[in-house]
Amino acid sequence: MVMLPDPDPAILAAREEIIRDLRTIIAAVDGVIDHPDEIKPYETDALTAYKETPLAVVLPETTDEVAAVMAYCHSRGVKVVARGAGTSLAGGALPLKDAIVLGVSKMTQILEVDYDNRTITLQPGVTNLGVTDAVSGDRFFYAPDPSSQLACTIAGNIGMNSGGAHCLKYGVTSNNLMGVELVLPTGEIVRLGGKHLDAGGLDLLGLITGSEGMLGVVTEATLRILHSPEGARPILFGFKSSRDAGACVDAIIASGIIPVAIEFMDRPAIHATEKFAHAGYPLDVEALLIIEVEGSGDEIDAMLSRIQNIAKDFSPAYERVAKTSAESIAIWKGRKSAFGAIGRISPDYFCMDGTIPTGKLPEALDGIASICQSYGFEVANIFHAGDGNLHPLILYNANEPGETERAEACGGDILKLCVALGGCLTGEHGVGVEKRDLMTEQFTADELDLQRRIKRAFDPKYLMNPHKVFPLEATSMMEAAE
Amino acid sequence: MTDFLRPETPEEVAEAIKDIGRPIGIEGGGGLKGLGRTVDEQCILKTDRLTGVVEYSPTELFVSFAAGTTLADAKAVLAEKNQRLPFDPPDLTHLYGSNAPATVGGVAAAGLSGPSRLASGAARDFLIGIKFVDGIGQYMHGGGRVMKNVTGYDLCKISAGAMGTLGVFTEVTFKVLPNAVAERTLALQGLDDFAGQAAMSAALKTPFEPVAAAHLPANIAERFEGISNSSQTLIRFEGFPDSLDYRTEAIRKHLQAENIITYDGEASAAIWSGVRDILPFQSPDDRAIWRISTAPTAGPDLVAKLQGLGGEAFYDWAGGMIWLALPPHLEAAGSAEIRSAIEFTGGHATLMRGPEPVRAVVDVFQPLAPTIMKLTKGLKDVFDPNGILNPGRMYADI
Repeated sequence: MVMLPDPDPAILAAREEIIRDLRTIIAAVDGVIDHPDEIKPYETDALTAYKETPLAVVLPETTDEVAAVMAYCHSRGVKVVARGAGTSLAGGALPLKDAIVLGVSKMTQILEVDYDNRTITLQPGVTNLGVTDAVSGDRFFYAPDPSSQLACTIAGNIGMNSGGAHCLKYGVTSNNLMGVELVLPTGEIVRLGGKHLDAGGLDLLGLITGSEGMLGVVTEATLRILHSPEGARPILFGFKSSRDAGACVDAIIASGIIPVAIEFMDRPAIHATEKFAHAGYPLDVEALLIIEVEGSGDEIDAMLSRIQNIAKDFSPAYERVAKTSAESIAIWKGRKSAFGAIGRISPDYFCMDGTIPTGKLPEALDGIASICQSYGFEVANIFHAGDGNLHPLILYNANEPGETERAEACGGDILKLCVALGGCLTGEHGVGVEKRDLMTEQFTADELDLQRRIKRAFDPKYLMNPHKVFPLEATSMMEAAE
Repeated sequence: MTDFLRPETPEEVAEAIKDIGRPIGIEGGGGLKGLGRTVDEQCILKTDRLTGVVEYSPTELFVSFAAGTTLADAKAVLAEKNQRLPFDPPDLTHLYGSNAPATVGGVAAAGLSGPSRLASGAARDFLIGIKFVDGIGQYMHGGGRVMKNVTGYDLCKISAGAMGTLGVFTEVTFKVLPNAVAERTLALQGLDDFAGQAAMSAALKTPFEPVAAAHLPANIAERFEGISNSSQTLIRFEGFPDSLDYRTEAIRKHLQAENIITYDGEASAAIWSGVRDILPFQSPDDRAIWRISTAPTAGPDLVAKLQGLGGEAFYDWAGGMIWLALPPHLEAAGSAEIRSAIEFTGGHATLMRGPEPVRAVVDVFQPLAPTIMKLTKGLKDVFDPNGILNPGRMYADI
């Protein structure tokens, strides 16, 4: 289990005073939450194995309120955990006993849509899907599409540099974020970027994207929006081996086709989803690919037939082209319900998030199978095959004593394998608390120290999410040395 | 007398930095020497002996080069596998009258992106891994070889465009993509700057996915070989031939422009490499050259406001990237006028080429708000606590 740092007794003792002070900053009556029942929803995020009760929850409505809260916490030495919708799978929004949670759920205004410059400017509590909803009437969309997009906020997307199934073509959050207004841990307000491309000076916008709520709180964001394609349809392939599926992906990409998404599922994932979603997936294959392309009807037909021709060399055992939007939905139905389906065959699961160089897929799957076997866990693999982002789902039962810890250890071994294969610990979920102690697998002590010093350049008192991303021992050693 | 250090391995770079104990200029080939504030350096470390492919995996869409590999060599290696650097890096060394070749490390350090930045992304988006030596001689890495990676802070982005002030790149890894199967450019004839910009915005508000859009006023267009003498509003498409036919036809109908010329294949590519490498400003070589990034729709206004300076301009990135050449001997190379014009439109401006005495006294890069400057100094201290790497090249004290 990941350890949380000991709370500061002086801060715990001052709880009433701190809450009183915060109430003078926040205008709305319900903007400071301190009742235990009302705090409860903020005790955890989508990494439900961990829970902690914060001092209080603060829900500001304006940049000025955020700035005043941050300035207060900075001067009073109170830790801050920023929170979007609490959908982090890595514990990114996990509070601390001696921290306040600063939620952006009341900052949900769309401020400006500018089609000529293809930007939308909004408060960060708008949900990911809410962005697309705001512009879809004019046939525009916001490209990053994490699977939690119905609930997750732009604040969280920026904090974690979220991706999604379509980032093969459109990139992740950092490639679609044009500018922010950011409140620093000191309470100072800065603006980075805007409606223009790239930044003047150092690329601070790039640095804060994916910094997991440790360098500041975004209070306004300008995002790039794009015109929707005329249409999109997938093709579904089943293969006798994951090696064939992987080689087929390589051949498609080598041919010059960059599909908008290439999703891979292995046999356990296919069986689990088919049982519940009844998407008509073939059950006698080892690997399944869903490949989606965009364009006009004719363009899609031409592209899919090119893909079919390429796939022939890898003898797919199953093939189904979506001809209509209903058929497209049917193909996606299984993939989109995969996580829910796995949740129904197993009491609990951990969703891992490593990235590997795409060519290492067969090795990775073999390695994952033997790791899971050695721990005695079932595993199902879902993979963004175009970009190498692998999501093994480890099935376990938290009610069995010791099983959570063993599942975590199993997940750790899988991520170490990803790093050893030339990949990384996390492709789109973030480090959070979940993978914090594995960072030494990917970075040397000097490299971690450099990153911690970057944090300190923004957050001199190390108050924002101090228990995330970096191994705790090293952080406290650094504290001691200061 | 300037000393040159030309290490041959990353370890030698680390040793050199560890021992140097005084300010040091960092260069790849040295071709971008004229970009940035003037640096008082007695010693220069060149990475031009760190060359070659470290690892290239075409199917995994990444390539790692030693930082001193020339851009031309890098492109040739990728071309063998029919791939490219998707941000279309320009070679601007000619602006500085240099024969030194552009290097991949220099491209990354200067954060230079070409016309396809509009649709594909910038150098910072495709720089997915770096190995570097910091200001106290520590050899470290950021990112990796995979395109999706959120493990720790994004050191690649903060280093891209930092002009070697945070570290010395020894190795850079880029995400690569296949070459386009075919390309075609539609050139709308005779539009003024405002109408040209509006046409580019209109083209981008369609599902037909132009990959680049530039506007060349007539006086600029006439410097391109083989294109007519009226202004050119250029909209570029890439893809399979059947798709190009469909998309360009659809855009034609959508824009309802009467006078459109089509450039295919090499003719199209030649125009865009001219735009990318700023060839219209190649001569005369004594003019100040500014690169201004702003909201696309603000571009023509900004240029109109600066007309009094007596320069000439053309637009890339649908109007959001302005290349402006100003007559020599303007007070501070027009800096005051440009900075104040940008106050209204938002964006940033870089004096890409200017006389040394000017670059010694004016901000070459966009001046920063005090809080942002404080963060910038903080980051400089993190990477280079003794302030020896390219000190002052980007900003005074950075």
